[in-house]
Amino acid sequence: MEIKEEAIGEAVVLIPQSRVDSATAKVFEGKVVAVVNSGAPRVIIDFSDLDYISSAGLRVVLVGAKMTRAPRKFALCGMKPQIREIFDVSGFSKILAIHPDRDTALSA
Amino acid sequence: MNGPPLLDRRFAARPDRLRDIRSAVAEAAGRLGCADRIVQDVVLAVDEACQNIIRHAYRGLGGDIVVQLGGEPGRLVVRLIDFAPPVEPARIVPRALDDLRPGGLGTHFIRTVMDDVAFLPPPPGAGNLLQMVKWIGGAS
Repeated sequence: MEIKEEAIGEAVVLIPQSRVDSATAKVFEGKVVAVVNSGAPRVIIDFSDLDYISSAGLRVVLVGAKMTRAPRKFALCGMKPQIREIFDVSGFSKILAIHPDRDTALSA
Repeated sequence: MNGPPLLDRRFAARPDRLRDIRSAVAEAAGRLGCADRIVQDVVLAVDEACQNIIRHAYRGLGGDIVVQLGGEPGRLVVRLIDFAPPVEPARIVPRALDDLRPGGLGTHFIRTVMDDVAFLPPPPGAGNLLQMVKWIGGAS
């Protein structure tokens, strides 16, 4: 799978493309873990180009969030309604920082 | 499932086939006249259940999954048939949401988005038959 990456100030933004399921989750996990381990003060996953995510993808998001220690930040943004619903069903919406768009995530 | 299913296809039990399974399920559920939200829920449940079959029933060693989808008055019925050793349904339980091990979250998804989930006696020669039902109101 393709995962775009952008550096914006002190933040690294990952933009996974198309879908994250059990066939692509390992690639996604490798990228998320590498970026978190790089020490970036702020890691943002922008879901605006993502159309589908399964529990395998959500697990990767949780791995990234758990690896991030304060004062560093790990945030999510740009979810389409069907992606947001999956986060809501999982209960992850209550424990992760989710912003409507990238600008909000960068300024939070 | 009343009458022949709208979808009755055999897929290789591999992660790279999940995309085709999701597409086939979405197309069949759409033909039943289901709302987009219902289609998304059913696709998610089938995807998660197939992931569990691939990972836990076949243990990644491969096999086949038969995916059937049909309508009954007021409800959509999905049946997943595999040919792996029979599973013990009591062991398939959701885990804590922050448990990072794979598997438990998918079971949570399935039970949340579907209205009835049960293992039924499999047909001769099969290992397991998982039936998942979604209420769809007036459509059938």
